[in-house]
Amino acid sequence: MNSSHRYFARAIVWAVALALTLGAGVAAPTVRNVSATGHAAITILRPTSTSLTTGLSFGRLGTNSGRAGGGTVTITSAPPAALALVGVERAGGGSGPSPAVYSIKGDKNRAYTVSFFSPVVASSPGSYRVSKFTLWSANSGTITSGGIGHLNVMGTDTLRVGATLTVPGGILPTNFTAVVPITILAQ
Amino acid sequence: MRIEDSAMRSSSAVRVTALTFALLFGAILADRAEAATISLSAGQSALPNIGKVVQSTPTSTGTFRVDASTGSVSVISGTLTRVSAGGVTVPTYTLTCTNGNGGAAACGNSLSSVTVTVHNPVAATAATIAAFNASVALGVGANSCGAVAGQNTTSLSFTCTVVNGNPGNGRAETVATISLGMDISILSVANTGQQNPGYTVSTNP
Repeated sequence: MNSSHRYFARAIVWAVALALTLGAGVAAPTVRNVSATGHAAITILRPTSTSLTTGLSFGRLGTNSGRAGGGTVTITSAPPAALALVGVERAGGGSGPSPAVYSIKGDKNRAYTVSFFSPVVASSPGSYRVSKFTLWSANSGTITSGGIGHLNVMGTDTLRVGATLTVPGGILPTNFTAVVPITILAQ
Repeated sequence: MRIEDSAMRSSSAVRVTALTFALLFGAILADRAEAATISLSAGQSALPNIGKVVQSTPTSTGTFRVDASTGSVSVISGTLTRVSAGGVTVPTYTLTCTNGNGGAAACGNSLSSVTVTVHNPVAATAATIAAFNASVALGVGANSCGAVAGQNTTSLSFTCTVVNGNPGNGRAETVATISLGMDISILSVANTGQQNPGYTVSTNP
C-alpha cells in the first residue's frame, strides 16, 4: 500500500468517525405526510306508498225495532271479516260489510309504523262515531296503533282496519261507511 | 522533495475531501436523528352515521349537516325526513408527533408546524359529502393551532405549531384532536339502502 492509499484510508476513517460524532443520535425513519380515510353512513329509505283498495263499510244496518238506545256494530280487521252487532241489525241489500283495506308499498323487508290521524272519525251518512280501530297486517298479523308492520321481500303488505260504529236509536236501514286516514312511516 | 510535496498536497486534498464528506454525512445523520414521526389515528367507518332518512319521492334530494362540535343533525335543504332522532357521534382524529432521536427535541427542530387537511369527498351511489366542518382541540404537543380555513366547504385545513423540546426519548405527544362534521347530501338517484360516502384526512408534512 503506497502513501496515497494510506492517506485515503485514514480519510475514510476520519469521515466515518466525524459523521458518527455529528450524527450521534439514533436515526429514526421519517414518517410525515400521513393520511387516513373515513366513511360516513346514511341509510336511504324509499317512500312508502299507501293506497286504499277497499273502503270501510259496516253494511246496511238499522236499529232493532223498539230499541230506543241505539247500538253498535263492530267489524273485525282480521280475515274473514266478522260483524258483531249489539242493538243493531243487518238489513237486506247494500254493500259490504268490509274492513278498510290498504295496500302498502316500499323498501323490501323494511319495518313501518302505522298510526291513525284521530282515534275517532265520523260515519257517512250520519256522522256517527266510528272508533276502536283494530289493525291486521298480512305480513305481521294483528298489530296495534303505533305498532310495527313489515314489508315483505317484495316490499308490500296489506293492512286491514276494523272499527266500531255507534248509532243512535231509530235508525232506518242505511249503508254506513267511514274513511279512516292512517299514517305509515318507514323505519 | 518533489515526491514529499506531492504526497503532502495529496494528503491535504484527501483530508479536505474527507472532512467535506464527514460534514455532509454528519449533517444527514443529525437531520435523521432529529426527524419527527407524524402520525394520524386510523380512518373511521360509519361515522357519523345519521341513520335512516326517507325520501319524499324516489329521487328526492336533500342535505343533512352534522355539527362537529355537538354532533347535532340538522336539515340544510331538501324534503327528506330523518327517521332516527337526536345527535350522532362524530369521527375524531388524533394527530401525534413522536420524537425520533431519543434526545430532547420533540418533533425535531426542523419541524415547526403541521398542516391538516380534510378533503377528497368520495361519493357513494346515492349520497356524497358536500362539505366538511371541524373543531380542533389543542394537544400538549402544540403551541397553537390556527383557525380552520374552509369551514363548510369540500376542503378545510388548519395548521398547528408544534412544540420542540418535549417529550424526547421516542415518546409520542398529541398535537391536536380533530372532531369532524360534514354535510351529507342525498343524490337524485333512485337507490336505497346504506350509503358510505368517503373522505380523506391528511397532513403536511
